Amino acid sequence: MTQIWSFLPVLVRDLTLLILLLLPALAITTQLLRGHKPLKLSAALLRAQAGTVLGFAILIGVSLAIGVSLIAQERSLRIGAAKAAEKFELVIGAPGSETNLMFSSVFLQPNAIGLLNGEVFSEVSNHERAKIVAPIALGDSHQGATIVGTTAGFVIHLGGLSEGQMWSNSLQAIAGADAPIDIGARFAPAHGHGTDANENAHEDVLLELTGRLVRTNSPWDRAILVPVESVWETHGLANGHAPERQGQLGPPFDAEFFPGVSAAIVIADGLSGTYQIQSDFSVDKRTMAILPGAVLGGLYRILGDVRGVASLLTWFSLGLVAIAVLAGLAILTRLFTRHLAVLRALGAPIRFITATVWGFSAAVLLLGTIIGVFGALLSVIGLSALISGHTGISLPARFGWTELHLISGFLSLSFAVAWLFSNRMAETARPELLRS
Amino acid sequence: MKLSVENLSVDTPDGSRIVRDISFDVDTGEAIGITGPSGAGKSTLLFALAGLTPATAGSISWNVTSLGDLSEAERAAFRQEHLGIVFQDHLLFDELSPIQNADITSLFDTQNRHTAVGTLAALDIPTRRIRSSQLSGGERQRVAIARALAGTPRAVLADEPSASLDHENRSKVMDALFAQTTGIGKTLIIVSHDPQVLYRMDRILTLQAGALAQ
Repeated sequence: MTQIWSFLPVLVRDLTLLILLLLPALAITTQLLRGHKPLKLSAALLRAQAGTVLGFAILIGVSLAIGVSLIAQERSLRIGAAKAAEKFELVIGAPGSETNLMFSSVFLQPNAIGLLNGEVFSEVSNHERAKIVAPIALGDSHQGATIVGTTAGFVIHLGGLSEGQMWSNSLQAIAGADAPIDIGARFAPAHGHGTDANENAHEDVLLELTGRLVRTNSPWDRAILVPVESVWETHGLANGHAPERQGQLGPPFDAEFFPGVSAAIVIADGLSGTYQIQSDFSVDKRTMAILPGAVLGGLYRILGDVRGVASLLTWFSLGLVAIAVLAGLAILTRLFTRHLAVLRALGAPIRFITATVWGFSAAVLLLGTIIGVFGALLSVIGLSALISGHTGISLPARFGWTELHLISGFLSLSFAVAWLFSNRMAETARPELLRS
Repeated sequence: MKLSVENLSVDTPDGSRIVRDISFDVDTGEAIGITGPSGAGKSTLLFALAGLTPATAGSISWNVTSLGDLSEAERAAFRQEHLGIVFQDHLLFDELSPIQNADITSLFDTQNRHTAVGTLAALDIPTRRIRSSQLSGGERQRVAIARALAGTPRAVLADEPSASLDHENRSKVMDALFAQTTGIGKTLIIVSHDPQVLYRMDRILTLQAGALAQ
């Protein structure tokens, strides 16, 4: 059975699981509503307690929205980060923290990392399986946008320009899709990032924006890209080329005149090439070669455990809310005990009375679930926009199968508990109560 | 529908005896009045006849069906099929309209035998869509009677059915109640203090401290 399950396409598995999770809710509904019309009475009772019912539904909705949006947001973050890193097959940097190297070079987060020297960069560039080797030089910014020194070849690898022209000298730059600067604008780079940035450190350098990079859905959309030579020259260093080739931009670089870079992004001639280069530059302590996908995978494994615990806590909290709500409904429906006793006195079967109370409870649970779904959707959209604004990583704001499974499971479980509770209510509402 | 009560006693849950060793018969189509001072056990007797309160001793049989032999679910089904009940304090669903209240058994009557609409007209009950909580006491009384008659029962048990009615309405409602019960061969048992109602009954049973007065 397990083998058959694992051979099924993922979509079929997800759909089957969704149906299986919804099945108890559908079965309970069909069973309780068959042969009579309890919902008319349930609706009248709901109308009579509209304010309280809405309060309970909002309580369920908020709780469900928190649980569902947490799970959706975590997955959205994973997908967004993986998409942002997919153009960065292999990153080579100075030995240190793998995550720091990845966050600096791929996600452009300011981190203290070592530099790769010209000799090593030259070795990487000359590797027989390397197709593109792009330097990444960081350190400056403009109006909060990180300035990244790299090569035109890497800009093309990222997707090329959506408008304007590629730089033709070291005083020209191109902007990411969302960078706060217009084509034709001139600016002096600030030294450093954020509140620590020194706006006047390079005031004698004036860069001109000539083009805009296509959207990459990564933090590079908010960056400003310049020739790597520009970064070095701005800092009064050699520009990577021998004196007789001073005007050259991009590779080859002269190791002797290479001041160092934060990282080298390597695109190999295939998957085996990527692993070959990674292996070749992981053998000694001069360099560190990382696959961003693998580093993210490692982070997700750690986060996966946290996610598992979070999911469990979500279920637990939803269970508690469902119990609390049912306890509340039990108190609320006690107001109807006399009504239920009248129904029994008039000859209504227990199943009808159970269905009437269940219809009341199920409507509250269903309304709460609908509020929860819309609340979760709004929350995911809001959180995605917030995180995208902070990180530059584009996050897909949508529900996945996990959330649908959670909602379906919650609905079925709460419907089942409501059934038991309604049956108990129906049995305790004895006609003798009418004499008291 | 014929009723046979033999040596019936009914106790409260705390053991007080409310009805003491009562025996009587009611023929099909007969109208019986039960009267007596407050606390004499009239309503308890009516509840027992409807199978709503269990008998402590003795037996209650409707035709050949002994209520004591039925489970609670079977007693409910029996009530639904054969008995119409008018409660002393009406026990309407305030959230529902008068017509919905009168027709309430249709929600669980799978055989769909209810005939509330005709009864509503006969009892001059407002058919507009208002909540029953907005009705006057007399109107509520009439809705409760319409509900008892709606399922085409074979016997009707009514507890003080004229209590909330003024003189004019009392005659009108009682006419309708008799017309739709004894008038068509159904048994009618009424608990009442009202001489005008008791006057119309075929026979009157008087309860004194739970026992039938001689």
